[in-house]
Formats: sequence, structure tokens, C-alpha cells
Amino acid sequence: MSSIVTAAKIHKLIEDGELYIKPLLDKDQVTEVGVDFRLGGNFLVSVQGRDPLINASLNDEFGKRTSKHFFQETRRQLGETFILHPSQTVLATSLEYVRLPDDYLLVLCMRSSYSRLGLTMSTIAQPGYCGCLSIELTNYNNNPINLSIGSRIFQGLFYQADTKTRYFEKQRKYVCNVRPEPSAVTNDPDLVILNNLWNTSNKPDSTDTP
Amino acid sequence: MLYLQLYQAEILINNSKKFSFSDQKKKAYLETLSNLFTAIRTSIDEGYDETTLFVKKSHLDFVFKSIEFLKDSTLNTLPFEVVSCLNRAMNDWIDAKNFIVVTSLQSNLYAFSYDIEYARNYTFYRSLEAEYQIEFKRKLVQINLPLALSRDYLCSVALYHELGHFVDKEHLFSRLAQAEFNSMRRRDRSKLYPYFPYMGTGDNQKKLGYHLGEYFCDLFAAQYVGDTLNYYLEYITTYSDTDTVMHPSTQNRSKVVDDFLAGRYNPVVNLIQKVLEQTIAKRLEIKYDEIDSTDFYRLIPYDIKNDRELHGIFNYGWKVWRSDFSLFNKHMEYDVHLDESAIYKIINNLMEKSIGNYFVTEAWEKGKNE
Repeated sequence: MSSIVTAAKIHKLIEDGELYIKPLLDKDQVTEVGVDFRLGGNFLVSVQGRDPLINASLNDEFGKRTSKHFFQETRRQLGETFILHPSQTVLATSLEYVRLPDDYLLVLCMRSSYSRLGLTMSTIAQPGYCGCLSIELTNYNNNPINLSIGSRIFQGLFYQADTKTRYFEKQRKYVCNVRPEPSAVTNDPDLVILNNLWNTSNKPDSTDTP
Repeated sequence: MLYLQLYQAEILINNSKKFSFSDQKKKAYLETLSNLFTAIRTSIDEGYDETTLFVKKSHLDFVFKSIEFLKDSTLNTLPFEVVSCLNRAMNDWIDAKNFIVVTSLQSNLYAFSYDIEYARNYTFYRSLEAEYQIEFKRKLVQINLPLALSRDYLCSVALYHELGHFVDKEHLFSRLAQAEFNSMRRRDRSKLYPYFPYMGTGDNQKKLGYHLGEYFCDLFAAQYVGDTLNYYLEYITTYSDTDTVMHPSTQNRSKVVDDFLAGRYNPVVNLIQKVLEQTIAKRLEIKYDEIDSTDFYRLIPYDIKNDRELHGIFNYGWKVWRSDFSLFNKHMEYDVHLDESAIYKIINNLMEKSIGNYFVTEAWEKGKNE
């Protein structure tokens, strides 16, 4: 049965080169039950685009298949700040670049001090993942929140899987990213099947033509 | 017409008040610029002669250009990493505290350049001081990068060459090399003819000056990025054996760089070294370390240890790009299914993060000690 990996084991994984986390600016980022990650300086900020909606399907009935026009890139340097407005979602990354061992899953959540401000996020990184950790931050507070680049805003908990997996054996959408990438949801092969279904059931029938 | 320009500048100055800089030096520069504009406006009077009109117009042009520089520098997407590397190299040759480096992203695909229109025009700055008693403590230097390639760290090696032009203009190396060339005995000079073939059969001083400048900049870049600039040149010129007025042939340029890096005799290198020694008692030397690592093949950034490795990361990135891509499978210990397009992105991402981690760690340590 999987259990949360604790500090001694995390240190050992890092020392043995199985787990890569850099820059680890303070050793005490490795906590008793995980690792505190810092906010990186690259953001994709949600903005209102010209398209009527973000289309997370292949069905073009209501608009084109894109989400990237709804996000605008912005960058900051260590020590600068970033204001997250109420109800706004931004894609951000960890300051740290991570390469996970082939049998460890990383579960990410806000540190409680930041949850209490009304910030939420929730994501995982699969065994063997390489890159900065992508996070989607949303401000549920009624007030804007000013965040420092480099602050420890979220934490990762490691779970050991019962077997090793090979992350790159499948074609991956996100490889070694160091800046946030817009969602590649429309690359999901299932959406092709679902769209075919819709097309079949909504195909104009020749008998419908006057 | 002068009033038209004045009112246009006024709009720009007013708009510039909303610029947001992370750098206080730029903010201070903008304040000085605003003071200059007020002084120009106050000084403008009816009935100027043509000469005075021309001078006032040049002062307003300076306001326009400076705001354009500063506006681009407020961009939210600046490639801090490559600019930081260039600043380190600049510090080796120029007192960087006299300059504010700003960055602009251009639409032209080959728009790697340094715009130093005003940076070295000390006479112009002195004229502002004399007329308005306003002093600019620092001068603006603008790095231009193609927007489409602002994350292409492989092609960014061209910027080291462009930085060479700035250093050359500051110290006048190529002009002095030209004088040295012309004062050489015929027998010594003839050794240089393969690199300046038109000088053996005629005399084209304009071309000679340009070509000496280009050779200097190639060597300047080679100090930091090795022969990677040759790869970039071969890619944009297809290894041409013909020269132009502005540039020597790519084949000659590559040979000069290769000879310098290999420590072989080359008369162009010797000529430039001699001038450097005479003027600033420095020599061109290799200022980067070759990185021997499997990190990129294992899909992790390289842990840069010092400035020599910082510049060496460009050479390392090119080495990986030109290598056998099956090495990724070998070092990952299974078939990672990465095509060329993915590897191109991975190399650039890992170069960016390697450089970024170096500066972040350095800044963190500095912050802890302050």
C-alpha cells in the first residue's frame, strides 16, 4: 500500500539523484512530509478574448478550438510581485524544475497560509515527470492578492507507486516545460471519438432537404 | 512643424507616466527625460533660424527615441536570461554602470542587434547639459531580438557578436586596426590579403573598416560562445565564399574564429590582439568552459557553477542539438519518443532554466546577506 514519503526518504532520493529538484534555495523546503515549492516568475493570465468561449471540445458549433487566446503571458523576476485579482485564474509554474523518480507520484496543494487567503489549486505530477510544476491558481477572495515571486506558496506530497512506469513511453503533451503552457485538452484522443458521435447524430439527413 | 513635434512629444511623455519598471535606474532616467522635455518646451520660442530649429528638433528626436526604448523595456515578456548573460560579458569590457540596457522584441526574424544611436554620442549629451543644465548619468543601450526567436537560445549567440559592435564602438578597436593595417610593411600586409582580397588588388578603405569590425565581433563572440556563431552564420548564409561591403565571406569568418579557438596562427587575430594590447592592455581569450555533461540528455537543466560555465551553456546547447538524438534514449535508458521538434524545444527550455537557476540562486544568496 502507498504511503506518504517523509523527509529522510526525500533527502535520500535527492542525494541519490533519483529525484531532481533545483534550485532548492533552502534545505528546509523539504518538510516532514513533503517539499515546499516556490512561485516561479512566468504566468499565463486569463483575459477576455474575442472568441465567445474556451472550447474544450472538438465541436466547433459554438466557437473555435482554442484556449490560448484567453491567456496572456507575463514574466516577473525573483522578489517582484504579481497581483491576482478576484475570480481570476492564472497558470503559473514552480520556481523549481523537477524530475520525478519513475515510481513516485507528486500531489500538489496550497500551503495553508495561502489557502486562508482564498487561493486554491490542485494538481498532480505523474511518476517520471520532467519540468517546472504547472499550477493553476484562482483567487476566491473578494480582494486582489499580491504574491511574491519566490515565495513558498504550495507543497508537494510524494506517494510511492507499486511499480515503476515510463513517463515518455507514451507521447506526452507537456515535456520539460519551464514556463506555463496553455491547456492542450483538445489533443485528447477521446475527444475525436466524442466529436464523431456528435457529427453522426447531427449530420444533415438528405431527407431533411426540401 | 516644431510645435507639432513638441505636442506629439508631450503626449508621449504623458503616456510614459504609466510605465512600470522593476529597475529604479530606468525610472530615474524617465524622470530626467521628463525634466528635459519641460526644459525644451520652455526654451522654444518663435523666430528661430534654421540651425536652431534643427538643434531643437534633434533634442525632441532624442525624447522620442528614448521613450520608445523605455516603452519596450516595460514589456512583460522580456527574456531576462539572455540579457543577463550579455550583461556579464559587457562587464568584462565596459563600465556597465554608465549604461542602462533595455530590450526590444522586433518582428524581423534576423533582428539581432544593439541600438547604440545615442549611447556613445557624448557630444550630444554634453550639448544637453550646456543648454538645459540637465545631465543623464546613464545612457540607454537597446538590445533588439526577433520576437519569434526570443526563446531561441541557440540563435541568441548572435547577440554576443552584436555586443562586440558596442564594445568596438566604445574602444574604437576596428578603426585602430585599420590604421595599423595601413601602416604595415607591404610584406606583412600581404599575409592579410586572403581575408581582405580586395586590398591586394585595390584599395577599399570603407570595406576594410567594416570587415575589420566584423572580424573583431566574431572573435569577441567566440571568446564566450566558441564556434557556435559559425553554425548560426552558416545557417543564414549557407557558408558563402563571397563577401559584401559590410561583411567578409562566411568561410573567412569561420576560419578566423576556428584559428583563434584552436590557438593557431592567424594574421587577423594577431592584428586585433595587437591593437587590444596597445589600447586597453587586454587580449581576446576564451572566457567560457566546455560543459561535459549528460544532464540535457537526462532532461534536466545543467547546474551552472560560474560565469565561465554560464557562457558555456550556449556551446553545450549547440553540442546537444548537433549530436545524435539517440543519446536521449541511451541516457534515459528507454525509448523516450522525442522527435526533432520536441528536442529543439527541450534544449531551449533547459538552456533557459539552467541560466535562470544560476541567476536565481545568486540573487537569493545576495538577498540573504543584505
